Amino acid sequence: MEKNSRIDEDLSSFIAESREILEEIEPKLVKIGEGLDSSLKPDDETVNLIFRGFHTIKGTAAFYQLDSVVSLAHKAETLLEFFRNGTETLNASCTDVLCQTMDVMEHIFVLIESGEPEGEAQDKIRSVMFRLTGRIDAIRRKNDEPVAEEGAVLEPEMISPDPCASDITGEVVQPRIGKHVRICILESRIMMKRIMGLSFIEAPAGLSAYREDEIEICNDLFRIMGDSAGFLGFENLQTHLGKALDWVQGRNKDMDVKSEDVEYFTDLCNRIFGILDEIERSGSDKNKDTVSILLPDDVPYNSAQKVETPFQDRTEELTALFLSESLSIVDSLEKSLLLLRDERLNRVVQRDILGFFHKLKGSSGIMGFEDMEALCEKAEYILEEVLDELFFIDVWDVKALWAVTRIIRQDLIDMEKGGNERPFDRTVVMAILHQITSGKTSEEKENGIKLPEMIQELSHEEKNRNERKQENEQVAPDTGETIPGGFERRKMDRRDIRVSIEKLDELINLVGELVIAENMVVKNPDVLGLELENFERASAHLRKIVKDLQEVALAVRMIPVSGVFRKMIRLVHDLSAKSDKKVHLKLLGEDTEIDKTVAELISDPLVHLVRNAIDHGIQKKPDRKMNEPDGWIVLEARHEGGEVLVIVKDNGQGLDKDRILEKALESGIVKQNDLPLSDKEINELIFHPGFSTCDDVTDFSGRGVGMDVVKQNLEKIKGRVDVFSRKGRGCSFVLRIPLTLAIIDGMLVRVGNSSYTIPLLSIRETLQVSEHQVTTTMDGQEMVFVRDQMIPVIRLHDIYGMGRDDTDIDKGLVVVVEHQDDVAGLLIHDILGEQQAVIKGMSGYMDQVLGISGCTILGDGEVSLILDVGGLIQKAQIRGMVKETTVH
Amino acid sequence: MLDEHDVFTNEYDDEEDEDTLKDKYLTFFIGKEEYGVAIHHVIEVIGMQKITPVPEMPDYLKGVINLRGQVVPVTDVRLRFGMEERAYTERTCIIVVKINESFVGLVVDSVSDVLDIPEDRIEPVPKVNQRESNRYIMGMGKILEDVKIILDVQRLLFDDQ
Repeated sequence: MEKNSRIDEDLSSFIAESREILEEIEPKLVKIGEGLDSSLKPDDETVNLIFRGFHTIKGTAAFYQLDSVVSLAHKAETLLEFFRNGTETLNASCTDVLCQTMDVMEHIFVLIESGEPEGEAQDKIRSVMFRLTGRIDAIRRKNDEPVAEEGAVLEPEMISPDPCASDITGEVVQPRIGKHVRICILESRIMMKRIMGLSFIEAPAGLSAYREDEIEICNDLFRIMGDSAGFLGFENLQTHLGKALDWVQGRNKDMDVKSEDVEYFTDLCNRIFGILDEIERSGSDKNKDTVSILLPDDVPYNSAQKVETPFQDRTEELTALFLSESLSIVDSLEKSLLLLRDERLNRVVQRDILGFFHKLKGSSGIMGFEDMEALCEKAEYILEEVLDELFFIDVWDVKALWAVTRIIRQDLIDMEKGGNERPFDRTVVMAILHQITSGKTSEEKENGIKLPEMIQELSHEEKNRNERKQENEQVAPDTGETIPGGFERRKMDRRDIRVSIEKLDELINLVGELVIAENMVVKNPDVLGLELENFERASAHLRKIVKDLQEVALAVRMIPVSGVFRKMIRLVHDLSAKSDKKVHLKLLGEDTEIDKTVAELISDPLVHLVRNAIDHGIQKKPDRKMNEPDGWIVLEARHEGGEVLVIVKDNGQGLDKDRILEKALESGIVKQNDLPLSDKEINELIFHPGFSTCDDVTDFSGRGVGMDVVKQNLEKIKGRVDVFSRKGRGCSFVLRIPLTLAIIDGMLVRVGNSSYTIPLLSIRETLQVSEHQVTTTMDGQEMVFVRDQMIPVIRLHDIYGMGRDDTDIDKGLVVVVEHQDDVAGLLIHDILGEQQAVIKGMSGYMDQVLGISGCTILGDGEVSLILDVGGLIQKAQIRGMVKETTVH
Repeated sequence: MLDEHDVFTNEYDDEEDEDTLKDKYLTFFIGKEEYGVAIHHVIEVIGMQKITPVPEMPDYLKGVINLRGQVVPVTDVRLRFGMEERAYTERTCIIVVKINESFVGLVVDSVSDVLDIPEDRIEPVPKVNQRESNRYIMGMGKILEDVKIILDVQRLLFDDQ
């Protein structure tokens, strides 16, 4: 976290949070884009969710003054707004642009984290901004809705963008009277002059029709100007340019030139000049004067007279927007007020509340709800005085603020229902507020106050609302499927905390040591053999608690695999588009929990496997005669025994064994005399580093690195990968990963003077063997004949060359262990017990020993080596002591 | 065992103690000769305890011990020098050093002292004897009439034979 001084903890938590949001919404976007959600309704919850995600990011980013993120999120919101209110249905090209937007945001986050200026990403930001603007314009143009109405959607953003961002946009635009702006203005002026010089404007009377080339020029020029205006955030200018463009597009060469049309257009152009002047003067196009030029006598290009101006015309969408946003502000406001009730002197809370009232005042003012505006103003006034430390904030002040909030909520709810009635007499409240603000003492206030009753009345509605809210929460509690509405709400609703993984590991290590320490106490030689009833009872209690603690500590590290899986949604989508193959992705068992480290390490292998499946496995449509026409990839996770299985299946062409073998022989990985190889062995060749059957390297795969990465990463976490494939049917990769890397159940055994721990999972049975069951081959390999199976015996001391072990097999015990298909018997001298072993890695100072996976510390403090059965059998095979298992 | 904890944590933040630890050497005996290792490598000195042998290791790597929950490999310096093995006595000690982020225990005959040996009192090894184990020597520290052999811990532990 201390990577760079620029990143304080808040900022990095903002980034982490934003990343979470992006991860959350990305799959949803992709899903919509793929049209899987064809039943998408205009006000679909998903769109709202995505919208809210961007909105949250915007709000927080503004707080940290990350201008580029703010403007990106803002554009994305604008685009989404169309889908949210049903003007347009989302299509693939839009979701693509939105995905790119998210990529750029992620890029900016990375830059911030590494301490580089976010400006490094300027090119990317610019290009994405252009694309977003392009989409937005396209939709606006495509819409048959009267232009004025579009203006209405836009206008509030200009004068006061949505409440949460009200102070942002001003700040963002203001400092931009830089080089870019000047260039933009200059360019725009030149272009406009060119347009004004066109024949239909110069001499409209002499023309009977528009010239096609002139229309073309106008079209291009307005588009260019619109893009740069959009990029620089001059929305008013952009709107005007958009209208001009609309007008131009409404013309064609067969049309008569009407003087009123041209007049309208000339007027529009003059206004654009005016705005350009305004920007040059003040650096902003949001000046009231300029805005008002456009509004009162706005004549749409189709000459249909539209009188209403956006100020008076509270369109449905606008009201809905206002309501939803105000309600979310009220939600946050109430939370803060609750806080204020407990900590009246908390200035941060006070300031928050002031901010909320300010936002409400602003937006209600624009909407023309004077009552609400007045209420908010009074509330603001109280808080301002308190913040200026003119007055101490007393209980009644807080109560008054509550009352104001409740009335506002009530009003909003009523509006939502469509009614305009105002059931509460607000004169009382106003009077009280007036009293407070005009500085009466609190006793006087008390006399004149009827607040309690009011609050009671109001609380009924409140209760209903809360109930509804709770219901909603119960439907989807911590599934991670819902993002709470506003940013403020999210912060307070958080039930999880962010902990650095180092701290967690430390905790788990300590718990591990606690387990050992507990063993040392309970099995202390000083107390052994003594009859200590109380001690026994206490130690049993201790043991239970330690065990619970251990389980909890381990569970803390477990996260659902869905995070990893969801990344694949985007990957499959992108790849299937790029490779021109239709591929569906199905996720199963997303909520399977795996260790965090494991999750990180399987992410890369999964990417490679999915890429391979799409690139090599799934054929292009014409070649898919044997399979169903669409490609499918199934990602599945599930628990099996002490392992987690992660399975990647595709319905492609499968592995081409002949080709693999041919390539392997060619590159010398397989020698001629190794032949013949079993199918399994051939399949496993693909994991060889540098191995590729592909002759040409594509963008995604073919270099022969991927499968090696898969294998390497899995080995790191003691997992393994199995391949199943049938030609023409497809291919499946099964990743087997141990559930946890920290603890195993083990059997403690004694061989000679040393004790070893054998993982219980590998043990099939323990046998006492009688002499007649033992067969010795001529090379000295001993076999035990158990239930029709010949089991080769491994003597640990022999294979590790630690002196001769002369024990007869019938004097010791044989632990039958298995690994995959291999079975062997370990000759041991004694079983010392069974225990949960906290795995400690062997020191990096020592080389890895085949057959030993680590060590653990026993109750008496001694170190015991943990045997790795797979390695052990492999080792024995290398030494030629165990031949292939024979099954009769 | 827990009472040693203080020593343990103290030594973790060796960075800031760098100055005070400079030129200080922990000396120990192997046979009759006195050797020294730079003290900033040293974590602690513990008595002999049970070593769990690890198979397939060079003979000087005696195995691993448990140092308060941490598994630490142990090297017998005698064997590392190619000297004859000697039975451990109660004077035999394990010096735990930290190098390249890993802990390693060094088995020595006995621990002697902590000495200040300024840099200018350390001389390069005279090039007379080119015996194998001489490459572990960083220099010869002169204290009055005595000579201590200063060891290069990095080489002692990581140089392959």
